[in-house]
Amino acid sequence: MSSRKKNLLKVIVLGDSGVGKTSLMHRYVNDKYSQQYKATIGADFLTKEVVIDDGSQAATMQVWDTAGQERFQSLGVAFYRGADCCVLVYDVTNPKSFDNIKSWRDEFLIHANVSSPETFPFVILGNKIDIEDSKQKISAKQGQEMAKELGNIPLFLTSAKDSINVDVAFEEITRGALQQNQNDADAFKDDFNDAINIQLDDESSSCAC
Amino acid sequence: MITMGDEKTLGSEDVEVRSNEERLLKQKVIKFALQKKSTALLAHLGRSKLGFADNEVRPKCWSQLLNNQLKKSSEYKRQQLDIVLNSKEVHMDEHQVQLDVNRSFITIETPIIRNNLRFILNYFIIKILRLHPNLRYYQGYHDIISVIIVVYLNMSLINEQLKWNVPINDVNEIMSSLTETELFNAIESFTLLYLRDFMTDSLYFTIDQLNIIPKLIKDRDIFLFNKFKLDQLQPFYATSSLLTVYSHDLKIEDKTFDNNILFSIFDMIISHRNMAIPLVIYSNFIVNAKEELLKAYESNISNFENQNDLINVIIQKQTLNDIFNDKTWDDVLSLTRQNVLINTSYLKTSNVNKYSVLYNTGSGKDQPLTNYNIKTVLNYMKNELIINEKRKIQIVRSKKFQLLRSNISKSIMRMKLPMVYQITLVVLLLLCSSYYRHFPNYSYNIDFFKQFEGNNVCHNLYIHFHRLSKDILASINRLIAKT
Repeated sequence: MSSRKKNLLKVIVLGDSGVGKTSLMHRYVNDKYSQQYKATIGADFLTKEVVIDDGSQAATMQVWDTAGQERFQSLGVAFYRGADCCVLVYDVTNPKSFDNIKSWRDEFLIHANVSSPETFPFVILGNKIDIEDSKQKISAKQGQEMAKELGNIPLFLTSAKDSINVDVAFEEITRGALQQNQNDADAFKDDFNDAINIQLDDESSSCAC
Repeated sequence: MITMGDEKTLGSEDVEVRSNEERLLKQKVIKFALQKKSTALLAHLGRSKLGFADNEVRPKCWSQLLNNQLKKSSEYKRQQLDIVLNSKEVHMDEHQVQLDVNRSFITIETPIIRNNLRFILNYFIIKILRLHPNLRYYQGYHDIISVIIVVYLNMSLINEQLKWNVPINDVNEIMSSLTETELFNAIESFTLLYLRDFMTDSLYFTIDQLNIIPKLIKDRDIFLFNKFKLDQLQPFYATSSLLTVYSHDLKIEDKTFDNNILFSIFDMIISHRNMAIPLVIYSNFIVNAKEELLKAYESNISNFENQNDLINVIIQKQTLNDIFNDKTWDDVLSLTRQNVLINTSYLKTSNVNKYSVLYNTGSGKDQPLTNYNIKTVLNYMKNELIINEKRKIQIVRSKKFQLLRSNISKSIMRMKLPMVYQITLVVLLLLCSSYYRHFPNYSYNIDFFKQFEGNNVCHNLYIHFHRLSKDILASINRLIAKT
């Protein structure tokens, strides 16, 4: 299955443990929120049918949710392949989760094997803005500065709980994913015409000696 | 052995009455075994249908078995007591524990009871981590400890107990110090005997265990194995089932605090002393759902970006579906009971490290009365941590090598050499990589050579390849430098 699936948009959600990845995904896909999501272990995914632009085209969006604890990244990596957009989430009340955004992005780029890292679409979400101001540690300005620094990545301040900005953010995510999907489909055609390709298998099948 | 008759001919009401009778009868036999302190008989009872039947007797059974399996000297207990009392040092994973504890016991609807349970959960996890600071907490461990807590507190009675209806600040407001000690001992023993492999800072050993599932399926259903090319993808679908021994999905019910299916899986592990059981169960789920999986495969083939996504998702969805079906569990558990892995030959072709629970404390090979000294087991853990570190270095090296290789091949392509040279270089590079893949640990000379003691052919071959690869790399580098 090497051909690109044109009507499938694959979106990966990354970020520290407890920033609200699962909540955001459920808010977008089911328009629901619960205080009681259990911790995600491994990887999980939801799908949503999306209608694009003027309604002339439909696609299926697959949102992949991953566990936030660092060790689970080795699982996530297997699912990065073929992603069309990567969503990076931090919690506005948790500075550490904000500081880690860059390393989540770098980690993704290293492992996803994307064709052109410079143009690959990311979207950053600063979640939990429903929480009272005094507990918010990361200002909108700080968020924007970082988003700019990382290459003008679109930033949205969201609340999965109160449904603030989630739909707008996912519209942007859909747009980015669609563009990437198109680029990759074009690149695939070019790739196919390349004469020599000495890509070797990866190292994963190590032996038990 | 208590044999359970064929229930197919009975109506559902009859079955219910009958299974209640079975439960009561079994409880009587268990009480007898407990009274006689017969570990062998208890292990036998725990292995059969219904496991230890209910939580009135279950904690006593677990303690009896676990205390026998892992011997803690009174000296150890005294030492550890001192360490815990004096230790104010925060374990590095306590923040993660807090995050997960806050998302635990979500099926329990009464907030005050839920919060008290969370308090207790947090208390015991922190205590284990501070006592064994080299153990690393993983997401999912909290689910397992939740189960052990519910079993030991015999929660079915709590609605009658007023003490649960006020917020607690100390576990002894809810349990006696005797219960606390028994509970803690059970948590510590279960962790060290069965969960050790998961408690490093990586998933390497977890993935090694997961990779046994395809091997088990291959033996049972080669068609399914080939159709899904199960040897070509890592079985991440079973991650949460293994790491939490099914407690992530099988929920403890509100009010009754019951889930005998879940508890009986723990009964089986403890009675068989076999941590391969969760893997066997998972492979049985897959083989059992063959028809559904094949259908799902055909109808979803165009819905996924690649084979890895497709297979992982259809298996995970199907299992999640089956996990909530009691009838499927009956089938899968009875299949598992008939086919508990005691033959560990499957380990030979696996990557599982030799100090893994699957080789010793959870191998399923030990008799009910053999026991391990805690020093030995802590030593296994230490060795596992060392191997974990080595693997980490190995993987970093391997990544570096991959990068180097791709750079070299790009350079070769750019060099505008005659085709023959190019091909020769690429072949040399391939040789070099395949050598590297088969001997990835050549930087750990001492350990590595030990494997070949007395085997000169292997040793010489290895040395030869080592030198060869160096030469190849050096000559490639020279070539690149020249052009």
